[in-house]
Amino acid sequence: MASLILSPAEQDYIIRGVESGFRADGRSSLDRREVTLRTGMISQANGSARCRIGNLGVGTDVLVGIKAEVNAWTPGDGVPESSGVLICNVECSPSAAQEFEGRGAEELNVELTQLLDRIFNGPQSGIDFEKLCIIPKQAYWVLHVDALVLDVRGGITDALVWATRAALLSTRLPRVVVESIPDDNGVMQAEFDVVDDPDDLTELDGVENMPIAVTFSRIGRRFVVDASEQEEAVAQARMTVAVSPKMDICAVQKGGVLRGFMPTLFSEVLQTAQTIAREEFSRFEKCYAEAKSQALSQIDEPSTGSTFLVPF
Amino acid sequence: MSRQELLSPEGLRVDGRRANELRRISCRASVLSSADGSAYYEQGNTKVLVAVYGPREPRAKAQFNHDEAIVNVEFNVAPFSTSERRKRSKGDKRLLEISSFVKQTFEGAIQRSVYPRSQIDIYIHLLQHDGGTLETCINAATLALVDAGVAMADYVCACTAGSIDDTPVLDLNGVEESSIETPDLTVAILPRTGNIALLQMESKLHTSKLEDVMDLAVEGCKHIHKKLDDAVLNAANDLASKLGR
Amino acid sequence: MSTNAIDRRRINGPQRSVEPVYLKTETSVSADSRQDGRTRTNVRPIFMRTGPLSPQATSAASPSGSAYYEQGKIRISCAIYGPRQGRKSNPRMGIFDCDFKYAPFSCSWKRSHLKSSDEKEIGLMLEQAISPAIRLDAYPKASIDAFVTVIESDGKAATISAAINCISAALVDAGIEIYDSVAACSVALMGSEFYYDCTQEEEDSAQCTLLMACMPNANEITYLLQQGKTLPEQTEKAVQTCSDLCTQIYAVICRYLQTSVEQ
Repeated sequence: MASLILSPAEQDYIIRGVESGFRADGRSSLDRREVTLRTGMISQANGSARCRIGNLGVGTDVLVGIKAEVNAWTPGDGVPESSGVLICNVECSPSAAQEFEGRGAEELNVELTQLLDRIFNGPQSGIDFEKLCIIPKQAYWVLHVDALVLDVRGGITDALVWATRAALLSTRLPRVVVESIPDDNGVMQAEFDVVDDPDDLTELDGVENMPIAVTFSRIGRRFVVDASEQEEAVAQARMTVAVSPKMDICAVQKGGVLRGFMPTLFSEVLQTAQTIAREEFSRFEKCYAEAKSQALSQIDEPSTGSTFLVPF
Repeated sequence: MSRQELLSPEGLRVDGRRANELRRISCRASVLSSADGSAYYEQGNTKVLVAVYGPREPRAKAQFNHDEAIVNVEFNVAPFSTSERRKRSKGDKRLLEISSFVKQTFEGAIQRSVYPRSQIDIYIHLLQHDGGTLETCINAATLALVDAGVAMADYVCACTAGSIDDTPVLDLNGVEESSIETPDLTVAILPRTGNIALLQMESKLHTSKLEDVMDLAVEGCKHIHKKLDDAVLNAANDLASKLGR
Repeated sequence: MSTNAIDRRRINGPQRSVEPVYLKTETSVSADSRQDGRTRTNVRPIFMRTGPLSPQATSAASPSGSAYYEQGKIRISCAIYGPRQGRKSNPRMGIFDCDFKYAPFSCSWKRSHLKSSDEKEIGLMLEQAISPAIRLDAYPKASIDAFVTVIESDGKAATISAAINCISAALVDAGIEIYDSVAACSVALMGSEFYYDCTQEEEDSAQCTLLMACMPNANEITYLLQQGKTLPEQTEKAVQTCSDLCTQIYAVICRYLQTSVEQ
């Protein structure tokens, strides 16, 4: 992400601007950029979403596909007896920045993957993982969350969380029928069948409780939310706070190697995160409803989910 | 498992097409904001996204060429693209093979001597896979290169054809492609001159059949050329309307 | 996969092995008696030594500083190389690079000798936690590399915080210019109370763990990581608790470093 090289004068301009409450693109320190959201563009996935954060059609662009698979439970592989799992994987495409070519993005991929995992994998995400268990100690659902970062213009974590949230909300799993069948010795054994009917699908449980992330960038002695590419290049530290709809703090992670956060600044960040999250949730609802109606209007078309063909 | 019937007695294929029918093609140029050129292309259920950067300064100074541009292709398959999730590593031989085919094809078509000491990057993402990866990649890359304004001798249009039960068939889908007996021929041509830019075949085909299959594929390329040309025209009209002309 | 590529240099176990499933013994955590006899606010005893891998003036390959750190069952060693010419370099400031590795026998299950993605991430975390303390502008074009090996671990957050303390001591041993030493600690939320410095078992049953690193004298939080759900007030309280705890651990590190210099 540090591909952008700014001159000392430009850096100074941004830092002093932020310290006196102005930003280069005219926003105030707590303003966020526009978000565009689309869902259901990958017909082979159980759920998918594309999210772009940025004004005037230029911005961070993330595509997330969710694929569900049934796994056999084996002792010792770390999966609880009666719960499903979620596996995250983030890949930064070289179309976002030239240095991501080859293995260049590996470190960033690891960092973003773990951050996404920290927010969505576990009880803090609100997802009912016990419902993802098919038969305890035998079979469970694995949700593979694969994110593809197509463009980076600052605020990559927030875009990832938005897209993942929308993709998980739009995820539909096939229904599973569990039956008890007596085996040769007359002992009842549980067996399951996945119903192969494209109309018989279920939503995930508890997805409406999923958190949203707000990332703060420390610039000078102040902080801004949703930093642009230029602002990220001069930011000394980052703090990502994930907040649930009930205003619980679901994850906090500091990033950036240059500086830390003062404790007073941190409590301010924590307070601000809640007010911003409240606004973000209503904004998300609006964007998601719009994306859903967009996806529905395309069902008449013979080709399935060609959302990329619609101007984005 | 018994061999699946790929061609019904009525002459229809598994997806209901006739032998000489292409799948539905939809494409669009300029889909990404920051790339110099980009395109989204789908042919049936195969969907590809391409971003083109350049001509720009080469990343590794060592590869730098004084009289022409170098072409760099990176091909990436999204883990959710196949019906069973599979993550491929960056060094996967199959991915490297496809990217090297695309690279060789475009090295011939791009007027590289116009851009000395520079590099043109083509990044391809396969979002959904259902046969004909190489042809869709080449067609999508052509559209993205045109969108980027890179000087080329002509469009490069690619199409596959095969032969099922001695009948030449056009544009194989995933099921047809994965059956072992079906030969799979990919042709890329420069439509104006009819020159062949790429010719690649898997499995075996009797020499007497080759010409029929080739002709069919070339015919397919010409159709695709029309589609690509329309997409370019659309993108240009779109731009012109934005400029208020 | 690591299982497919057979490593001929090591003695390989069977192709597939399964960790035995132990009978669960009832663990009860109450405020004044934890499993290991500590109270809620007790930190496991800390032991450290600087310079176990002593630098040899004749050899360029030996580390410029090192430290060994124990906190309860956790044992960590760290070697610092540099400032030296690095692979990556920045013309304006130095780079602090950290390589974190769990020894294969360090956890309750066998770890691979290859680096896993969580080890890579912890390496990144350590870089982010320690870098703000180093005067990187004093080392342009250079890189300072830390190699951290966990010999025994007990609790993920506790191990990472121990690694941060270990690197802090090693940096002093290497004579790297720093603004202040970084001290780190971890707490875990069980019920409505935060327990200090938790073991693996305690962390597994916690709703939330919080790891914090700070420079007590510079009054700056250099790293913060919360995993799990809390109320905002609880997070704020935990950060307060951690910063007090870090000050205590900081005092321990400083006292040791002082006596080691006097000796």
